Amino acid sequence: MPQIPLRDFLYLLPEIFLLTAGLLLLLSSSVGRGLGSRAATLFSLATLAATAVMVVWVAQDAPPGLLLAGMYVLDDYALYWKLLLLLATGLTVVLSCRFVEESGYRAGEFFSLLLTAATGMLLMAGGANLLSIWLSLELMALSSYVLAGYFKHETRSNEAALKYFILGALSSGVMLYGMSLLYGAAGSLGLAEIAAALPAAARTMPLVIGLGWLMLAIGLFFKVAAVPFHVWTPDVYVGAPTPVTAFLAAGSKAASFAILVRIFYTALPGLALDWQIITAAVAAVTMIWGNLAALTQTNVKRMLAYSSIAHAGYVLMGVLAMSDDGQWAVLFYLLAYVLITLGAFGTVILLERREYAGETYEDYAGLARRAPLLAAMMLLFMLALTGIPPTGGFFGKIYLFAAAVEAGWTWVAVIGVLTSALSLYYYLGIVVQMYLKDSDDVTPRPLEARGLVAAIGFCALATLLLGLVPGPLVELAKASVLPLP
Amino acid sequence: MEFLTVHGADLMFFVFGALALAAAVGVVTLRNPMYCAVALLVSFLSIAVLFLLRGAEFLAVVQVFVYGGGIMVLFLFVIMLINQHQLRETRKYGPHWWLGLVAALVLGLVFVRAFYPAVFSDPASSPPAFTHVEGLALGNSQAVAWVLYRQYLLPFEIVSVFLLVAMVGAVLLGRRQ
Repeated sequence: MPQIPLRDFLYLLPEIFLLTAGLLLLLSSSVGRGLGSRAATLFSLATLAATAVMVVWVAQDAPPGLLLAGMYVLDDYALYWKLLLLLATGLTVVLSCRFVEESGYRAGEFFSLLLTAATGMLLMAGGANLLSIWLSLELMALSSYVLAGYFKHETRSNEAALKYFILGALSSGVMLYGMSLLYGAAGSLGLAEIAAALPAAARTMPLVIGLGWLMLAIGLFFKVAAVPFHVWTPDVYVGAPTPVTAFLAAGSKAASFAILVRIFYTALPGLALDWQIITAAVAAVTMIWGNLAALTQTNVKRMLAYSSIAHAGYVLMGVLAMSDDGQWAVLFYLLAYVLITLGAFGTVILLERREYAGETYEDYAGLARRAPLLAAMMLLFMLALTGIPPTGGFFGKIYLFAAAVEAGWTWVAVIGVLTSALSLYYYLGIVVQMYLKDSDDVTPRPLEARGLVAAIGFCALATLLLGLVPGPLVELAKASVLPLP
Repeated sequence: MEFLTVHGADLMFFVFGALALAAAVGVVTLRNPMYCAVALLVSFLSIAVLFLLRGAEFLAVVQVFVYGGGIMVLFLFVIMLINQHQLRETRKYGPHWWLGLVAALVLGLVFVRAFYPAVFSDPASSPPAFTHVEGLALGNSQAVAWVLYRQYLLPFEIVSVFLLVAMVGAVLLGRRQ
């Protein structure tokens, strides 16, 4: 193994910068009262924006092939995800501003954990080796465990953090065991090396490889919250502070899909038939159970949790197509999904008064009269989650269904269409409350948190734009797919 | 005597392998948390011997230092901090413990089945990679360092960040408001 050229580390500049800024933010909160929440928000946003610039800059200069002794890769696929994940983190920062201000915690500490999580996500997007991917995933997850327990005096938040931590550790253990089996069989942890060694190894030790990829896949399904590995999701999403929930549902899930697709497509193409069947089954039960369970919820955060489970099922449909079309459909859909989810959670945050109040459907009654703009944006997000035009959710779902049908997985697509229709019922539940129900509280709600409203507005506008002119993003997604073997 | 010189390593493997397993069962089944901790220590040390038998001295020493030393002390601290008398009255296992037992046994059988042909018939399963650096027989520590600080440099750095975040997180959650 030759020495790693120093130059390779320059390509890690965005990640190093992001991490350093996060640690500086952490240090700053130990000086006096620390940065105010507004200053910390601005600092985090500036950091993320600068990181995005560096990501693009570094990617333009990147050599083809693997870096850092085969651990890292700077391809178009990684670039797309990094920008998407930085956008998700940036929006989360804005969504968190008021929460941090009101909760009385030191802003720097909260945001520094978001930035370390983002560092983990960037490293996940570029990981080309199972070990570096797993460690980056853990870096993101560990930051998220702490964020989920940030309401220290709230039992539900403690419960969320503990459940998330224990089940997350279990799933990471299962995933790591699977990776070790693949390592034993293939003799390497590099994704490309595994793909090359698998056909021969599959003949001599089929059971080791079967167990290996299955355990790896189970760990990944757990991270994207697919049924039957979703049990942690509702409790964690409800108990965690809502900005953190938004981060888990959008950023964390998207990053997990980034590695899921890369591992399946780059390391396991030789076993495509095997994992396609398992993924199809998981996608089908995820869509069915996620939507059915969402029907019965009375808490909006819990409903959105089940909705995020259902959406993992839709995305898996694109994954199992194992085609270019499936891939860019996944890329397109997850951007739309991240924007819609963050927008919807942003609305929930705006309506929350303190801690958990304002989470039931009834709290949305008569919102159209009290805050017409907010209600209109929430309507847009609900339509987009269902997949109704003219929203980004519509095209995202169409592309996913088309990719699945094209690849011969029509029955999964049929389940997807049927469950989407079903989901209209519970998404419209909120709309009915907002527009058709009256509430005693008729005072117009001032939209006091300007940053928050701006973030929700951005998400709404982007969702609408993706629905009206999806072309440019489709082209971008098409240019960012992984090469298929 | 000759039997011992020929089969000594195999014998050691089976003795310490069995000890590691038995101690691990003890960790789960024993009632007194202090006994559990001691059983865990026995298991850790037996595994260190297994590493030694495979020619991985560095791993063996790290196993003793980190697991037998650091992690054990941590466990003992926690055991001494919690109220043991209260613990005695709680149930040892959940109501579905037998389900877990069946699942563990089935999984164990599957693993045995998976590994049996793969490991026992593979003559290449003891590569000189444990001790060789670019063809030179230097020793296990050098071989580990060579791989760790070259091939696995990026993961190594990520681990250090990971540990830092773990520490920060523990302080944040453990600190009084």
